[in-house]
Amino acid sequence: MSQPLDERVRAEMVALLPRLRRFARGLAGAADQADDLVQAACERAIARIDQWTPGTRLDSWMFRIVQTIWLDERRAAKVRTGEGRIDAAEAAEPELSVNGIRQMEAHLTYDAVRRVIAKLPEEQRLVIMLVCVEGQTYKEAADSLGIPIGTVMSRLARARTSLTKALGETGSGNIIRFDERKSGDA
Amino acid sequence: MSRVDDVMLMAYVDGEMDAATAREIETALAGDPALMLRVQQLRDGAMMARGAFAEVLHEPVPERLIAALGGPAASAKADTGTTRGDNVVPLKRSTSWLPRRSAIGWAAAASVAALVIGYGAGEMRPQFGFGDLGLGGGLQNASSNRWLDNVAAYYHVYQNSLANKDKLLVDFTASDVPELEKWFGAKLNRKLEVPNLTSKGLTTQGGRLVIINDKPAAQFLYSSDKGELVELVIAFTDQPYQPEQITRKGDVNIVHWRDNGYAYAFAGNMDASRLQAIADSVWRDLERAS
Repeated sequence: MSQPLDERVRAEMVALLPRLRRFARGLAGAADQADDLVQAACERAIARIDQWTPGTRLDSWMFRIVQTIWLDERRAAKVRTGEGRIDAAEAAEPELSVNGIRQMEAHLTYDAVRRVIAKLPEEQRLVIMLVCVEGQTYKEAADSLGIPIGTVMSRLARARTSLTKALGETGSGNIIRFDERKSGDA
Repeated sequence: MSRVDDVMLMAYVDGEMDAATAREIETALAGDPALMLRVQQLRDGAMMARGAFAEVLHEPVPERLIAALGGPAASAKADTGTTRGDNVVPLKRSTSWLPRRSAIGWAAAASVAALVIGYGAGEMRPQFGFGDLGLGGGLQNASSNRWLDNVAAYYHVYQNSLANKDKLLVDFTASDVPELEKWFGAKLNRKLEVPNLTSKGLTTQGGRLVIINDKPAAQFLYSSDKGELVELVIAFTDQPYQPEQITRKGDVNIVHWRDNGYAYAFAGNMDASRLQAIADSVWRDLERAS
């Protein structure tokens, strides 16, 4: 560590942990792997705190660290398993149900969404997590990923098309429209 | 506009279009049920993605992560309020929430507070439904959205004040936004940035203190030159996460959701589609600031 960590910065980092865990869960899938990812990101952030410029957004910086570590790990895994091969974790992923009749409870529907996102190509998974889940603007996501806004948009569009299609196939596409819900069921 | 493609619809849904293009898309949507369906699918997909990972925010944070930041594990709860599974920000029992800023602030807040106290004490059954709140019920009743009656009522209070050219419309005017953020942030025990909706054609008018379920809540007000009037209400809640829903109360549409100990309502006298698109933008701004 090249400079002592300001306690306020540390507190801000701690406060970011729930969001970092959510982001990592979307990328890594399993909770343990996601937390491993967040832990690695925290350790790297502490070690490289001098690379963060006070006054700039700490959350964006830490999200970038998470995604960088995740992408590095994924690339390394591909090298280990052979380029183009489906890794064991993906191969073991159960197929989505195609029973369009079954009425899914909300948690099952969310489970389906998580499965769909886990199956998306890495670059699409990143943009859907950054924009749809984390609420970043296209520009913020583009800056974070180091790609043009147009690329963010095309990746995001593909991801959302896959999501819509998969949810339709599982019957989850028939989610209740907001204007059809009763106001008292919140 | 010659043709609206999927990427444009997505950008519209995500609030990434400038106001003029968004209006063109809305015009195209009005005459095309297929496009409307696709817009709804895109919104549903985004909200499902958001909802699918929302619970993670409510999980206890493993101590090893806090330790990785070099801090005592015990500090996390105080910093986040979410690290031990107790993800709801504790409701403050303090009675010191009345504004201490200015005579105008006092007068406006007192007038609203008096309205609520008079009704909220249960002595009367007002037409706005304030009497349904107040005494320990309100938001604690998970099966009820009666607090939205309040949201609609406060909307009408402001609407009527505006129509009467009442000078005590807001506790804080748009020129006071930094102070407004600081003041309401303290009252709501959170970081707060007043969403800027200029790109949606809506100008910030200011903020008022209102009372939801006996607790201070923030009401931020916006208007457009087309006569649109919008309010954002942020209140405490002890209810769990709830994705966006839309409810109509009289002539007011309300997009509402709950997240991390707060209930949000975004209400306006505009069509549900436009309101929902703006609400998505508001959600993103609030998420970013929190």
